[in-house]
Amino acid sequence: MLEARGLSVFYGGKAALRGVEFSLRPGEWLALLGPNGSGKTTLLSALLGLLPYRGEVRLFGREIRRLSGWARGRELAYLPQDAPVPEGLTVAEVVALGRLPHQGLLGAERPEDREAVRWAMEVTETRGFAGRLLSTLSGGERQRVMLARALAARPRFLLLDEPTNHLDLDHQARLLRLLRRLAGEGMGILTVLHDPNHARAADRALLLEGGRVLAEGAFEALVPAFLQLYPGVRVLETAAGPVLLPGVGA
Amino acid sequence: MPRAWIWAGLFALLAVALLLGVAVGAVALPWAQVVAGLVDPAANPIVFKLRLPRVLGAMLVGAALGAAGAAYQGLFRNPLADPYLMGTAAGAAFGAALGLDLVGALSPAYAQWIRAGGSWLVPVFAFLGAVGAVFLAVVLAGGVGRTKDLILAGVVVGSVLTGLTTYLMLKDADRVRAVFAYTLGNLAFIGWPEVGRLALYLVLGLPPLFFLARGLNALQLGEGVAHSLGLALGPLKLVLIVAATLITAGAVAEAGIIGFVGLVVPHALRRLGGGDYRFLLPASALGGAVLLVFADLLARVLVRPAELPVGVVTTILGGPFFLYLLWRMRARG
Repeated sequence: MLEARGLSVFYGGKAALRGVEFSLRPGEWLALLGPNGSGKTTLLSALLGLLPYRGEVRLFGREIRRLSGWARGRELAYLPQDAPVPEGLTVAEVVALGRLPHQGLLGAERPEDREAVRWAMEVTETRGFAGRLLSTLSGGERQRVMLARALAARPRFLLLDEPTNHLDLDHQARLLRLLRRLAGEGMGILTVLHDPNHARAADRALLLEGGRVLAEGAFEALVPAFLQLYPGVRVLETAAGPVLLPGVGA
Repeated sequence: MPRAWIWAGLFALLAVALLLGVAVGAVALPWAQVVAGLVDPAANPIVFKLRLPRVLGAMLVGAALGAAGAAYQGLFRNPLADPYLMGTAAGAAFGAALGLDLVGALSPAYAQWIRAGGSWLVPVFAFLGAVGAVFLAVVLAGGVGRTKDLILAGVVVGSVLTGLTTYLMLKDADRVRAVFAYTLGNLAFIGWPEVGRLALYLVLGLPPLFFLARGLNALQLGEGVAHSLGLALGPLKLVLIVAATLITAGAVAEAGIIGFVGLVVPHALRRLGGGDYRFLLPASALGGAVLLVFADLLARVLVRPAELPVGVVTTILGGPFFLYLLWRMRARG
């Protein structure tokens, strides 16, 4: 269980997060939604211990600040929105770095490390370019490699910041299906999502506004709150449920 | 290129560099005497007392610059980073100028006199100046947290110290020459005591860099990811800076400022063997050693019977070589 209680973050006296509460079980997918600047990325950063915060973040009951870096890294993996592309590292080398929290700085590669790397590249369909330099891949391929790197730790929770950015529609669909499958296999997933419609693939969504939780629930239940928050948005009712669209013209 | 080939090539080049470095000089030595002199210290005093320490000194200084350059390029995720980025060169020059000011002796053979042990003050001040400049840069940047601030602070400290050095130098013309000669990269004055000190710096500074190589790999994915993988970024960066500064400051204090080795060697090896720092750090140390021995060889023979300071050779040859690398990179897309 990953849970936050009364989580607040301040940037120079200004509150970026105010008393955020949520909990995420293994096997569950929670989406973070909200306008730009509402605190979504700040929340992820706080959960990772990248920012000082007030309140509590607990991982299976233990305050996350008390865990060693390696212990936290084995349980929580992170995929940032825009990661720099390392020079001269191959896809296989980048994915193998995901084993760092298990191996430490000097640890040799064990069979379970190789197996985890193989599995991570299998599910992300990146084995085909294992020997290529990461810098020679397309943006979408790189994103999958970075996801493989995060998965290689075999974490209990996966934190992703706008993972569908820079992906074409087909790759967006494939990524969302993969996350659904990983949740089905028992991984807890927390995604910041730019397009609220993608939250339909998640179990629940948390709608943030001004650093506070405005609403929480399944995507359909959040639609009224969305319309209140974004006056320019229109709802298209479809057989598959409501779809949010930017309202253009009348 | 397979890394095993690169290692084999580097070790072969190092052996060739050692033999040539000892054989070539003002007095021509037959190969039999070179080998005999390397095997038996008493066999040939030119080999053992003059040329061998100079070649070993070149190797140690080159290794320091190569490894520190690779470490800084990794730490700052910047291919233009070099060992002097954090202000070591300017700090060493300022320390030397201050030391010369305190010593007050400015005979025409000042540099030789200092290197011959006439004043321990100047090399010690150069070393302290280099370390002090980096310390000041880290303090001004408010710690090692923000990498960009570190680079900025290093540049600021460097230019302020250069200004102060110029001020000290302007007191008289002899001083200008003295400081200039001291800081211009030169291996002519390296003897066994210098080799001993350089070896000590490397024994202290290289193991932490190699130990943290995988941390540098993770850092290439960005600081957020490196942190999420469990690395303690503050201590990681601090140890990297301290170790790289130690070996750079040692190299500058004993041999002056030698440009381009720390920039070009990690670059070339990254192109050849990839960017895994477990390979790149030790290979850059070895490559730096090879490059500097060959550069010193050129410094000794280009204007024979006189000598060029090796820093002039690396700068003159390093610039075009660097452009060639960039051009090849662009040609390959």
